[in-house]
Amino acid sequence: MTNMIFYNVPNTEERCAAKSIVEVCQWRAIHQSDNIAYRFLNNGLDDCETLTFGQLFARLQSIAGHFDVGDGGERAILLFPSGFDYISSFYACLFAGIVAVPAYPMVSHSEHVRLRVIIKDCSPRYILTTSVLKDSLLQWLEKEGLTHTTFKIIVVDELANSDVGPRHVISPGEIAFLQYTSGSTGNPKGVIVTNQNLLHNSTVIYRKFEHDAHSSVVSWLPPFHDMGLVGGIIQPMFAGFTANIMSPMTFLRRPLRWLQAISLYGATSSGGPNFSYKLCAKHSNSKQMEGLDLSSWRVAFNGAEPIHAQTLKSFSEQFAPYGFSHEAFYPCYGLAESTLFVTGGSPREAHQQIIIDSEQLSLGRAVHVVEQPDVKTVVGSGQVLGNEVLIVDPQSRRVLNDRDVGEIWVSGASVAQGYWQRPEESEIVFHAMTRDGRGPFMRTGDYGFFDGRELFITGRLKEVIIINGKNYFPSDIEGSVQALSSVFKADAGAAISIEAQGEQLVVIQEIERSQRNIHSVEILESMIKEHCFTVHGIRPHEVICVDQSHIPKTTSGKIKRLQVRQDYMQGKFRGAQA
Amino acid sequence: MGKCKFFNLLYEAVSHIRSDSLAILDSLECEESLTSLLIPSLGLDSVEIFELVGYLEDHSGVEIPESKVFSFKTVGELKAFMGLD
Repeated sequence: MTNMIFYNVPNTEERCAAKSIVEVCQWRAIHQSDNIAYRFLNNGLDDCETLTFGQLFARLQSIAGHFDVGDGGERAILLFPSGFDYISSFYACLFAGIVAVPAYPMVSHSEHVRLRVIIKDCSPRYILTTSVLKDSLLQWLEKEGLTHTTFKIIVVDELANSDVGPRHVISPGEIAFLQYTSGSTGNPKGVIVTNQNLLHNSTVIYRKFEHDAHSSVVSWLPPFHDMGLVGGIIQPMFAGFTANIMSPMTFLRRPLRWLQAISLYGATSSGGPNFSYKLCAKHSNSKQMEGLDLSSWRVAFNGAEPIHAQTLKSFSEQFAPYGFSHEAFYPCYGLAESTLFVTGGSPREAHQQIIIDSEQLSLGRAVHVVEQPDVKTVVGSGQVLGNEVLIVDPQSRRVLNDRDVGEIWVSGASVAQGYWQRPEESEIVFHAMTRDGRGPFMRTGDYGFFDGRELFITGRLKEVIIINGKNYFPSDIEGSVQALSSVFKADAGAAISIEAQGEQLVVIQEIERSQRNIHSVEILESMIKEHCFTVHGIRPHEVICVDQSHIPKTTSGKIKRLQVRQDYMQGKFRGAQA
Repeated sequence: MGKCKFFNLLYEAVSHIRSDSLAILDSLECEESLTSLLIPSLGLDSVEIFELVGYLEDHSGVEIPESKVFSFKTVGELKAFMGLD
């Protein structure tokens, strides 16, 4: 390792200092061998399996034995469903100095495309998988013409009978793993996360969440993404408490299982994006919630997508009778490029929520107002710890003042090293300097402002629509259009800007399939046009209503506005007009 | 249509998950039109498809494995897999 920086590990009797999370794992395997590190909830409830620190360490050593000595720094793709095989394999890579590359198990077509691109991008030396996925993987590799001569496939649950012994010498490298960002399907970028990044960000999360040895986590988040991996799997290992893991599929089928698991295991920290709270509120029913006790839940974190005050309110109302405390809501902000966490609140205080003037916001200023017609309620994402955050004008690179809206720039030991083998993009994103020469900073591409020490997020930089010098946030226009009528499918519209004698607004909106023939498309389109004019004061260049499933979205359902813009420029939506 | 057990269950599930989509079920005239109905025409997004599966499982006792969830093209295929009338 180039930088020998040691981090103090909490909840270790004799102070343990580590330079890699796998050393923490080793320490706990020796000193806390029988403590439960991970519990996997098969049905999300009492049907579960456990893995102690001792068992985990033995398992990861036996997997690590299959990496060839001298392969340090080579990549290994991890292709698993959520579970112990994935967790053990991840740590095995770190143990042997192999760069872990978490990938989604192949279910849908877009995941196949993604895997192909990731393999091409990171040239793996190994693919680690499980017997359940082995056959479909081999078939797929053959179809793709990717024979296994270039990489070795390790089926980790079939290793028991092999004659390769476990590896005993720990040799962590500089890079821990590559976190491929969700980006567009065809162009994912591998964020380079070092062992140092991981320990630094784990320390920050530990302090901000006020964790201790008695904390515990329930996580249904996909473990292949930064929030599920760094928050759900690494943090409990770092802190030395039990992580209760369930598959995202279990949660999506029966959202209340998440809350039931929190209740059953007395979890203190658990969360997900805004939609997961919305889903629970939708599914709440008194019969299934009988006996539910959410009073242990101190940190209900909410991150990764815009946080809606309305969601927090309705969740609180539904679950307060079951011991949920409104103070537990923990809006936070982060991204893979900063390992995971950047800002968050204090678990003992209610989150901040302010009312600002919409007109002023579109001019780039956050101005507090009391309730009046043209206002916007924004939820604070907490305060910075351990890193530095500035709000910067993306054009002039001037550092902005309190309550000025600008791009969020981050620097510090949590900031990743760049994108795998993309020097130009890494230079632009990770080495930005302010006009007065401060830096380097990582440009998040997100827009926001500070109100005192509290950070508020207002949107994505690149998608901001500027018309006549005023900034409009696409999500605001889309949301207000969709609220016009149930004909317009929720979360399935895009407001984009194009160049046509100055910047112009274009709105593409999907129509509910069930109401497809009830209304004339012309009437719907003119309804949106009129709305944009009366409510937002913009005369759209064009409004197109399309049938359902025509607007490109990410796997998590976010609108890919840049792709929409591209498709629009190529005239794709006119052909799909409803 | 009201007599068919599977239809009633599906109707309940859809009204629970996305009541806007009931119009499509209301417009069906015979059993054949239900069987040949394409699942995407129910107008459910991927999160809602999982919600649907969870609801059907809870109210039928039939388990639908993860690998199957997105493999059904028509409502008829789903019905046949679940073995309901």
